[in-house]
Amino acid sequence: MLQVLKLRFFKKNTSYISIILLLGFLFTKCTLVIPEEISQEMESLPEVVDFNYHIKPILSDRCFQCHGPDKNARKAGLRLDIEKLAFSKLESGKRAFSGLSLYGSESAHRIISSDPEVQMPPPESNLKLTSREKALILKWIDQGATWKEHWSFTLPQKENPSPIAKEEYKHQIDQFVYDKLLENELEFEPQATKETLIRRLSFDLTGLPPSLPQIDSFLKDTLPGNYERLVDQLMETQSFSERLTLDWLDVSRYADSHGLHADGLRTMWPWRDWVIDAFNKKMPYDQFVTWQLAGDLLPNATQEQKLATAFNRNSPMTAEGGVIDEEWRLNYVFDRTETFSTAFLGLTVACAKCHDHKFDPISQKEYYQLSGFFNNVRELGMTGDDGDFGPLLYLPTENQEEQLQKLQTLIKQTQTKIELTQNELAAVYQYIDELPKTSEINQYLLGHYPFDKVSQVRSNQYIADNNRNVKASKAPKVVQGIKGEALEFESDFDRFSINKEIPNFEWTDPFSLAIWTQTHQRKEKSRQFILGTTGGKNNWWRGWDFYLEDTNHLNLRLVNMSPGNMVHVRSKDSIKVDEWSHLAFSYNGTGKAKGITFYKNGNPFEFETQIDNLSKSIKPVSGSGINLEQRAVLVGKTYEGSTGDNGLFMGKMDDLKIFNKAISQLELNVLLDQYHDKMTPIDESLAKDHWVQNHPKYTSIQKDLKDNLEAWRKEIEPVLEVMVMEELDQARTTYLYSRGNYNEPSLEVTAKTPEVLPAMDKSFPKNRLGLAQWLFNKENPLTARVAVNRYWQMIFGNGLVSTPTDFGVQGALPSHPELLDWLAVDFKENNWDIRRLIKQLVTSETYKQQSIFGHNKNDIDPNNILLARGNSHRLPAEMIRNNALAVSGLLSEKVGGPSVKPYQPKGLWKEKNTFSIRLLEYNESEGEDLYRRGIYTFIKRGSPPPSLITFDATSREICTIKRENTSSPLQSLVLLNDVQFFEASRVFAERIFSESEGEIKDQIKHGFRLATSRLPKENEINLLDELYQNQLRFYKRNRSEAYKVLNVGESKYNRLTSADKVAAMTIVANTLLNLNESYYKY
Amino acid sequence: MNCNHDHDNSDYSRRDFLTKTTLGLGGLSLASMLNSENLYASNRLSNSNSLDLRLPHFVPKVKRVIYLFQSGAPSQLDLFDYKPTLNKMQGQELPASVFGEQRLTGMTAGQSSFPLAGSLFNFNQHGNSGAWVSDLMPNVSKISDELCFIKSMHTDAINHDPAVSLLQTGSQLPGRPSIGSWLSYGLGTDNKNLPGFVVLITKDKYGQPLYSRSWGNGFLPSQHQGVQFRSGKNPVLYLDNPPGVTKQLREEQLDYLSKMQQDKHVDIGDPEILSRISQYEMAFRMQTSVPDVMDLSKEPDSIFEMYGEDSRKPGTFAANCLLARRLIEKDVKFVQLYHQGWDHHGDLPKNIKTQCKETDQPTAALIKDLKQRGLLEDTLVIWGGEFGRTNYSQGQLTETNYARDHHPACFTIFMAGAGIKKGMTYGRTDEFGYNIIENPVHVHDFQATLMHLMGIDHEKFTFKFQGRRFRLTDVHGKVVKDILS
Repeated sequence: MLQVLKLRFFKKNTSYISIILLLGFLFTKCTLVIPEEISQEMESLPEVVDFNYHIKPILSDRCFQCHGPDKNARKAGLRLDIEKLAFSKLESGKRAFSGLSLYGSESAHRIISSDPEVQMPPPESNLKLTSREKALILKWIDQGATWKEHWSFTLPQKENPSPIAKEEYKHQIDQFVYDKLLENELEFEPQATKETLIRRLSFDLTGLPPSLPQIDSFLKDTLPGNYERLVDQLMETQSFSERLTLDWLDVSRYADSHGLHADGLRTMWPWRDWVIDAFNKKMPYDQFVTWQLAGDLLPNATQEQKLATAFNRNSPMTAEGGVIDEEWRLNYVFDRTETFSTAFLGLTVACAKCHDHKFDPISQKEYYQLSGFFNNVRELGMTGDDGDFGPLLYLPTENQEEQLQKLQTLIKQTQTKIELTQNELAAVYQYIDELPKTSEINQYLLGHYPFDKVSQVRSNQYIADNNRNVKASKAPKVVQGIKGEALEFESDFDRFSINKEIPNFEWTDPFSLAIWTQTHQRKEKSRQFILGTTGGKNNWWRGWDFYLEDTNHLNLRLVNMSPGNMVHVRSKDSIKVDEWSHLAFSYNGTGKAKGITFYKNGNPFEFETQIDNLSKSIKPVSGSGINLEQRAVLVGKTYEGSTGDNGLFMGKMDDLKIFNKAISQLELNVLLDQYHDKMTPIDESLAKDHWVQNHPKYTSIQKDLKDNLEAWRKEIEPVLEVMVMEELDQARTTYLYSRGNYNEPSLEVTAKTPEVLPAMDKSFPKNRLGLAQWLFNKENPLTARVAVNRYWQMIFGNGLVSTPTDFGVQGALPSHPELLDWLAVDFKENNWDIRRLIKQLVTSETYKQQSIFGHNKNDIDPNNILLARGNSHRLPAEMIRNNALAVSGLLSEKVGGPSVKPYQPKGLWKEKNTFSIRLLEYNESEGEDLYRRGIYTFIKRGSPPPSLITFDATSREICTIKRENTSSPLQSLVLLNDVQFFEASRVFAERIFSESEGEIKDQIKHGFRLATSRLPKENEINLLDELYQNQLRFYKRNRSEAYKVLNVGESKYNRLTSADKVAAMTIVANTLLNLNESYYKY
Repeated sequence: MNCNHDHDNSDYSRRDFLTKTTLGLGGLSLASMLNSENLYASNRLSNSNSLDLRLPHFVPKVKRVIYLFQSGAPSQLDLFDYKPTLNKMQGQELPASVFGEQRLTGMTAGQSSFPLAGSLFNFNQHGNSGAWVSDLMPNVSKISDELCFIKSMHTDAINHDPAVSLLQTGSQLPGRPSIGSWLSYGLGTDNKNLPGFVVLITKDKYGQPLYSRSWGNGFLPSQHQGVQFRSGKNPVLYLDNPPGVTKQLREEQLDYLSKMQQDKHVDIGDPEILSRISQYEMAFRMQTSVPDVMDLSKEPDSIFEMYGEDSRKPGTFAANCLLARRLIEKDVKFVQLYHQGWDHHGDLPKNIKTQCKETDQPTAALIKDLKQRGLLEDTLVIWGGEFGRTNYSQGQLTETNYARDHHPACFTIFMAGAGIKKGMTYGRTDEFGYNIIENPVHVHDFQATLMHLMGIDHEKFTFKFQGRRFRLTDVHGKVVKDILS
């Protein structure tokens, strides 16, 4: 393949080359020998070689690897992406480019050389220039080497089409397209037939075929403006919003499962419904995107605005046991950064994650600066297999909202009543001169564990204090304690669990605990768990726990789900090592941090509130929250098995007591006195508190409060939650990570937009909201172009820039730059109105052309870049299915709600993945939900719906702006054999019989029209009739086979027509659905 | 004026190519695509990529691959990488100097102790090559002179999902094409009736998850994704005619469909219609060819005996090995088997026995069977998992029980067949079986070598997507020349 470059003296006297040689002589008195194959190419080059269109793509693709923005890869100090540097003198004294002289341009020599030492690109780079490319570069230099800024980084301007075009066509789109056609001596095709047009429009705007009444009414409407009226009608439908949503779900990598490892269930469909609703409300594009990027940061953000931010929580997440949390948390940050850039800026920044971008002027530092906008969410790297993980947004129904409000009011009233009673009681407080008796305290004691003795009961089972409910698999040492003996924990397995005796508390239950501990370690990145019930990731960490973190500060957590729904407090001071401490807390059952008191050695121990956001239950649950679980209290170690922090407590513990009320400090003093054989003098204020809190008047209202809180908790328990964005109070530091490795932070960076684009206005906040404002600032050259291009692609099949994810220097240049810019400016000027834009596209003559494949045009422009005919292509997967369902009449019009599970071959989920409990088996939906539109189909990323994937739908693992459009035999198999399509064929057959009477041929005609929107030709009817008659003969003889056909699918055979006829017509209907015309857009 | 050339090229050649041939699936290879380069619009830059993309780059030694993927990561220390030191130091702590900077998974990072666990299984040297294999693999040990063991494999990931993705797609994160889809894209298929890239999964096995992306097409055209052949009634999804539709009826239906489509093509000239006609023909042929190839009933008893009794049960690893041979005989280019269940975080001694019982005999039988049919001369067989396992015990170490956590720093795979030296052991780990001390082979090196055997220079085989030239080996990978025959 490699062309052998033959260097030889130029002899032919062609005019063009003579000029080059002559110029060479004039300026340098030297010659440059142009190999023949290059000089031949010169003949066909455009008159003017344009830097952006012809040269930059070559430089970027073949030279930037070593002479581009990546400073680490740069060779010979040469940088070709910046004008000044490309033309400056190199260390060697030469210049890569000189606008004055071809001979004086070192690049010219190098690209035509065949000497491996000199040749550029060097052979080892595996990159080569074609003769044509070489010729282009030479000609460009010869024409003065005019440099231009990269087209997409400059602001788009509205330019005028030619006067001829303006005269010929009213519509701006047509004018610009016509100009290009003229250049290439092409003409538009005539308008497509009305049937073709309505079918094309209907799919493009609603994702559905037109109904026969729609077609008839359009055919009948011959008044001016009929086409526009049709467009308006279609755009007013709910289906139009659903159609726009389909594309947006690809952009947003929306799915119903987490994607990585267990690939469990997530609930993001309320966000999908928000998208549909936003399109319904005709939300302008800038607002639509701003809400999704930063709805939570808008002033007085509404629930809807917060819900929109779920866009950024569509990132895949892992729950794989043992992963390193920070590594994966950062992966989600990077995924957002890359999705943002790809979707809105049309720039692929991903390669700058590991090194400076090779092609675009985006440095590694800038990548991480951009990531800074997305790095400020309190989220986990490792989550649970199934479920939704914080930050979460509650989405109560109206009724739930009302109930919750009512209960809130009641709770407030009760709390006020408590305060009043407290004051009232305090006023009448009678001095008590004696301390509460131990026996009084003990009535609240749930368990007392003296830790004095360990005995072996089985080969690998030990019990403490002769209590068979307190078990260990290895025997901890019994050592001298505070009171009697104590236990010392040394290895991984000498940990005790307290079974049965301590109930699993709800957060509405008050409880308290006191214990002696002495630890001899303070271990970096590792907790020391005193005791608790919190489970592992798949139990959503539910429960409560009391532990020392790695600096030996004391912590208490009540957890519904970490890190969102929980209370977490941390002592301000730490616990000393090698010293016995008496640690205790009391908790009053209000679900709030202020209901907690810490004590150390009998004195209040101050704490800071880390999280105070508990609402749902803290009762332990089994895997993925399937059932409530009775969970033992574990002492000295967590239940955590996969985060690397199993909280081994190293040291001694003694005399644990657990109470089912919030004990007072006075009571605690009494407890402590027992260890010292002394009496603490009575503190009057403590005594007063104690007296008030134990007064029957007070405790009875407390009981009311508990009931109210419990009612509120029960009401909120089933409320739907969705993962959304929420900023941390304190910004997290963002780093540049060497080679993209989470464990190699090398430089601190702050949130900033890429420098090649206009800077962020100083007045914008340095957060996601500011980022959104920057995106839609009028100075931003990319946002509108990228959006307009994507909608163009949606309607025409290909974008004006055929690389919709890459507007950078490696990307394709726009086929119609003036048109793209005109549309972009117009879009901005008209309030980012998506409907208006799409209406512009579909009302152009360009759009309305027929899509025939004339040989002449095909030769000149096989990919129809110039738009000299209508574009045809296979419909997206979801629409192919929609079509079959619509044609048969099975299609459900239901909008929104949880994703549905249509027919799918059995066992596909389970054979790949048994980790997710919720998504273990694919349970097909029932009734109407089998026949919903494609956008509602459940997407499990690790095992996406095969019939959709076969037609190039994506697994939604990454942001996709353009799907492949392929054809394969497997697609034929789906259309012929998938239950969905075959059942639709049968119901379609029944519909044909029930809707049309008379001859079979008439019925076939009706069916043909339903499937393709047009009337069949004579020979088409004849062929189908023959097919029908042949099949009918078979089914008449083989009734049982006919009945098999009728029994495919869940919908019932309507018995209006005889089985053999329906079966035969089913084959005809199936054939119709397999015609290109049925599932292609023409 | 266009830069995403590969993409456009494929789009164009697809139409063009299929109008000229009846090749369907996989026939759309890059090699074929290049023929249409001259049909490119003259106002476009020609595709620089394609200069280097005529495939294969050189004469391949391997025509077909069977990759026996052992999902979950088998313990190299109990199968192939013999380390008596571990037995001698049983229960002692892994020295910090050996630990080095190795990061640990969250499953053992919290342990207070890392006790060395020697294998409970006996090791012996086998064959002329003297390869060490434990008693767990009696059949594999007998053919060790056919094998090339690489004991110095290493990877970047310490967890299954990213490690499997890295091995199978070259990236720890989703979004890239799998090995098989790269090969299908680059080399096409030699078979007109079967897909070029077939996936077989052991039935009802379960264990660490498998992900469609492991045989997915990533950003390559979707016809290059692996096609799963499943045991049971419907071996390829949607392959069977619906109930009540006989083969004859279907054939007739397709005849009529074809006639109507041809008429339409005459009307509007859309070359896609012709391409579709050939797709339907191929689909119809597959309805015969797939059940044929999956029908083991004509295999003689001696073959079943060779692969083991399991091979009579469809969907077992043994049956899949036999099926793999049959697919190879039909010139399927890449057969990827998955066998789950090697993730032994608990009760390793017990669990690994089951795994070996299921895989040892069929693996050895497959290699012998290929050899006796002369197929081993141009077929490559690969056996291995996604990483290794630790030399210390996860959880409690007792005299009869231990478990091992993930270990990315070294693991063993073996290969046999075309292009590979026989009876060879390559690479070495330290006496603790923890670090590599000789000839490390990174996952990307392994991929580069695999590509090389197929006649592909992994550095030249790229696909431009989102402005970047992607390779299976990312920006890494060296061909391991020492193991090439």
